[in-house]
Amino acid sequence: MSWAAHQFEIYAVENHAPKKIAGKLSFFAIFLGDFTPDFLAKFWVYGITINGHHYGASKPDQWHRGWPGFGFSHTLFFGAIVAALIWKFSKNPAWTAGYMLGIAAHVITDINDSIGTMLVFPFLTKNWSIGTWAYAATVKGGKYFDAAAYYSSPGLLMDLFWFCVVLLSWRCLTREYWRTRIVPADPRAWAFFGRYLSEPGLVALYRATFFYGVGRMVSWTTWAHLIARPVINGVHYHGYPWDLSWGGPWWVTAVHLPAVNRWLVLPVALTLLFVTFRAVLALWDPMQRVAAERRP
Amino acid sequence: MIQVSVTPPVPAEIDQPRARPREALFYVLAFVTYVAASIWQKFLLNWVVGPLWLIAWVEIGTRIRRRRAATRAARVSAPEAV
Repeated sequence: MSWAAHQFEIYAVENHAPKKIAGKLSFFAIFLGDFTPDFLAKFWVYGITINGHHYGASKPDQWHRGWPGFGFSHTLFFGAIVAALIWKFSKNPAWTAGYMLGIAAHVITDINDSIGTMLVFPFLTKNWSIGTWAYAATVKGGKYFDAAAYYSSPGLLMDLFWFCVVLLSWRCLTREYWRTRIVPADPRAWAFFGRYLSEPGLVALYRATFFYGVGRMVSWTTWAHLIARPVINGVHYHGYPWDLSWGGPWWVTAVHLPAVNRWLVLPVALTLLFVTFRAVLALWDPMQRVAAERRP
Repeated sequence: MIQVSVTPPVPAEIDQPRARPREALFYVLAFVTYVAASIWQKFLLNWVVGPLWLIAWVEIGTRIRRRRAATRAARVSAPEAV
């Protein structure tokens, strides 16, 4: 799974949207789309322990990304269904398109770990993974071990990549950008929060996901490499060992689910991303027409 | 382009570029305290607390700053009343 990458990519999706829909997508919808998969599936991945009894998935990887399991939450098909429901009940193009692109970003990013996602669910329930780093959510290790593995592996590079993408388009974090592009795309939602927050507070609300992404990246990395004292294969370490090689870290037994050939994954993922964007663009004008007819 | 106002107008003497460095300070303080606290208390590293941490720092800091600015302005305009 990816960690802070999901917090950063929502800014990239909004900022680098095709010209036709640039500045017209709801930021909250992109956020919601990107967060829904893990919101639905991740709690049970780690589970909770009460009085020494663990409540949670017995096979976290299967639950998180597999079928049977909650892996359907990490699929474009699920995203399309939810986006269709958003459209049915709101007739809001900014929310419908924003949600779909947000969840697409999440689904595609998650092909990088060793279990990947079911890209073409429900037509095929095999997972699509390029295995950039090892999926490390286990019942025994829980969130701490998962975080340590991720922030010792190419997962950290993925977070840093998206962090740099946002920094290179730093204007998307400015107040001016928020005023002129983010608010007009979704005035109702911002007006709602404007009842409770001042303008600096609203700008902070917009930047809060970025803040959280940077915060968790720094915090987990610091903990994993400066504070934790793990014992791996009987050897005591000061901090978890780094391993930025492909498929790392070496001290994690990478979990796998039944998957398609790895060489097919990237071309298919990029094609599906392209198709998703094309579909959103093709539906944009009809959605706008319907929305315009409904306006008083 | 649709012009939307999401907040009540802010008095010019309060919402001016000079206030930005102070606002930036809230961001720095929020970040430093969040990272320092969350390294030791991992329950802070979640989707609710993380974003709210920043919003709380900026919003509460802004309100305090505005209140102090308003008090100062009142003192200047009517020194005998303060």
